[in-house]
Amino acid sequence: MSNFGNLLLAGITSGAIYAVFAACLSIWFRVANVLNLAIGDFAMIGAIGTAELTQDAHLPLWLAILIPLVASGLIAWVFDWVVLHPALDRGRGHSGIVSVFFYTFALSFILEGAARIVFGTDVHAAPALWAGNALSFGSLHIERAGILVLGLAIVIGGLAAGYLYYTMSGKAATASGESVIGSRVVGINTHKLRRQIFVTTAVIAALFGVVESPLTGFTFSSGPTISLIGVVAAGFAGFRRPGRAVVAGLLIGLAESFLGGYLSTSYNEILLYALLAVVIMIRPGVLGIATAH
Amino acid sequence: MARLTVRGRTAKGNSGADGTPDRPVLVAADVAVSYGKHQAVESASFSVLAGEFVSLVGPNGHGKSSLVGALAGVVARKGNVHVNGSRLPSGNPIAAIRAGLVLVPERRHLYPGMSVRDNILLGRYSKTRKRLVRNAWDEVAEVVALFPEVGRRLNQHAGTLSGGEQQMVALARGLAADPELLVLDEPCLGLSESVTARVYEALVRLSATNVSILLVEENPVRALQVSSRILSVHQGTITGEDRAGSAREALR
Amino acid sequence: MQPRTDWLSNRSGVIPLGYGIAVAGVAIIVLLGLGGSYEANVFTVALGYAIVTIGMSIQLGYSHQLAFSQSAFMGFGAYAVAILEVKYQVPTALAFLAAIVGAALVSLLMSSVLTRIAGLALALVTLLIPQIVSQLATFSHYLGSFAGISGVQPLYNGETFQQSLLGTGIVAALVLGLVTFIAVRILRSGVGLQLSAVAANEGMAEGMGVSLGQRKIEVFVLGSVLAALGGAVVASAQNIVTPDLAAESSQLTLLVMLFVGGRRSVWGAIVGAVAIEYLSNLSGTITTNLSIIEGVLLLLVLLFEPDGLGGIVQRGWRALRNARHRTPSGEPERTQKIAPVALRPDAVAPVGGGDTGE
Repeated sequence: MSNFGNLLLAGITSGAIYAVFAACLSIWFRVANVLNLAIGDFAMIGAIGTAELTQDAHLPLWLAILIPLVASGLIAWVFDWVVLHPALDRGRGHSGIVSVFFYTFALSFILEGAARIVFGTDVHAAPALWAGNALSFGSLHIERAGILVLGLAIVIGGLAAGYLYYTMSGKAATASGESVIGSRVVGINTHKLRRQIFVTTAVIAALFGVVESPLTGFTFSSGPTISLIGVVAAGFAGFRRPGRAVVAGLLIGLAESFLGGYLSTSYNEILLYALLAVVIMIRPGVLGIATAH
Repeated sequence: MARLTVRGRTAKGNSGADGTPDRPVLVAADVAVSYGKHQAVESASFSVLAGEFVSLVGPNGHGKSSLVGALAGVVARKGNVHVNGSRLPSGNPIAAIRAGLVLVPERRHLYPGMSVRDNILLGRYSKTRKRLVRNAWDEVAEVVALFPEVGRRLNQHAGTLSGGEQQMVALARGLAADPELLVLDEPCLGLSESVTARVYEALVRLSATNVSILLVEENPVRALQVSSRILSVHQGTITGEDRAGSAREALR
Repeated sequence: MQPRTDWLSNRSGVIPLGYGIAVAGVAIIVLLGLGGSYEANVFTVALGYAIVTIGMSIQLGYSHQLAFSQSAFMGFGAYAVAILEVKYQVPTALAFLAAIVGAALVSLLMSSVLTRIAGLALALVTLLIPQIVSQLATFSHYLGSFAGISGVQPLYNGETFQQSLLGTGIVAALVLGLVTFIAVRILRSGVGLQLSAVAANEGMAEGMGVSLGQRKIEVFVLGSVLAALGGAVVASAQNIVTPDLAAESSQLTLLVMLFVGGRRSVWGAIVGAVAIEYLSNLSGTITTNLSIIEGVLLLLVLLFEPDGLGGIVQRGWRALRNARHRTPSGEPERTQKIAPVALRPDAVAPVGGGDTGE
């Protein structure tokens, strides 16, 4: 029983991590019809940036967190200015299916390469924001960072849902992804909304990297794996539904935890990926993928 | 390739005499649109007066859509466009909407995955963009009352409606912005005769209120039935303008 | 000047053969120039990658089939050849044949399910496959765990190391020539035209009588088999196969090769593979900063030259030919322009794209 409980807690914790990245991905896809494959790299910048600034530069923690967050936002802004805006709004270069993956894919390469130069190849983790041993309730144990992760996931999920469903700006963001011309004729600045949400989700991902890094650790090349799980979780929700993406992320976390706990610790990743692949192949409709274009 | 020159009525500027029957809502002077080397509209000058129902007729591919797109700011242009006396910057749809010019684009361009309610709600986005959804609905509720068949389907996804119903939603979305001049680009493209009749009926009802209408229509017979004035574009040049009344007489 | 109809009648047979011979010839000349050096080995590996990217240009470039499983099949081909040669002493040619047949069977089985699901869902599933294969190879003792399997035979056993190295390169060049011939032959046939139609609009293509399901399966199997063949060549050239070959990172490298080279031309696929593989084996700063260079190259290609290096070469070639064959009126001749170009989806898509609404 305690084994089950601990696996459940671990699953929810890692699921919450996936959930946040999936939510960030799908909220931006909803506006832009582009997948942010660099989302994991923004998390990496947040985590390793904070780690280096506290441990090597001895900055106070708040400043060490703030600087990478601002840097992430700036990188996102510049990338939009230099690449996404000319590509998606001015009809330069590729549009359509190529733009869904490959612009942000290139950004991921660049960030990974830059991180390798700036940060080196070691494993880093930002200092725990809530230091101390794992909390125990009887036989159940949960890391403090895990509680922070869960809490932050709930807050971010709630804010995203509130924005999308209860504000006119959120409605306009959804409309931008549905029809660019239809949005422009009612006065929606599709470029501005897309940029704002790109920058915001990049900063959120960086912040989340800081919070969760004590649990997982980061290297310069951690980004793509995070992005992959985020994309898969978002895909399970049809790519443009952040609410369902959160649920999908949690379920993936649970599946991973239980597969590792009950079947095989070394093969659990393979089993997880195989399970995900099989589910998509058998029931794409149920998960909303069939409605994604 | 279109050269639009209107004999008789090349109004210049706005006299600012609000309330008089001849007050121009829209004044376009030497509007030109080009895509790269291709010149879609060479130089178009015309105006629409308050309360008028003006149609722009002519075959497809002669710059009509480009012209209205330029007026609404969704296509970059050269030349001057004044709406209610204020000059519209090129390529700025928001300025056009604020000045009172609203475009219902060709093929509607609704948001197919969103509810009819959201579609109409977003029509008023330029005035409600900082608000919560809850507080924005009241202002568009009266628009919905004009379209009873739309009102019954508020929670349905717009993409699941029939073509005629979608056109009604597009009209309602346009009206939600509270326009003085509603510009409709081929509203009946691909619709059946009976549905077209319903759409036109709605347009006539609208023009009886104080909304001016500029309609782009490929079919001159249809346009004649509803408009008060017609600007015809044919084979790249405008052949002139007609008071629709006399033309209607001629048809009978 | 008479229209040159001989181009039209011959292009399905002779031109592809010309392409194949030209590619193999140029590759062999380069190999002979490099001698038995380390660079010759790098170039041979690049030829192996080029076989894979040619398959990708048909799959991703022409047919818009969003499958990202090529690195997994590279791993499949490489491991199949390695196991057969090292553990069961099977001769190289037979091992290659078995790897190809195996890849064809596996991909056929997979495609019967995979090609039924829509674009982005297919992308998702196939993104997971490289992870599964590389993890499997990492944890399996039979497949040699992290270290992989070493002792893969070269494609040609010469008396000296240098001879084997050069011979392997020449065999790889011949295989690449054959693959080029097959690919160009397919793309210049009616099937190629059908694939372009499928890429532009599936529903429309089906309406015009393209058997959609069958074409999709064929494309998937072709891409997978070429990936396996390329993987086997790479393993033979390197004498070793490791789990990295099948991993996601390898898939990403393949995509960069394809896009930098030009995703819609066989030339481009080859040029991209050789260029990136060459860059990644240079010493010093370029190799350490490779991913930044790859990222920037990819962005430059996407923004400024959608058809990549191959596109630049092709444009130059066309300009050169047009300059030679000007008609009296000064108009460049157009008889050589092949139909699929007109069906390019990007050419049809509205400027500014991304509009999904009706």
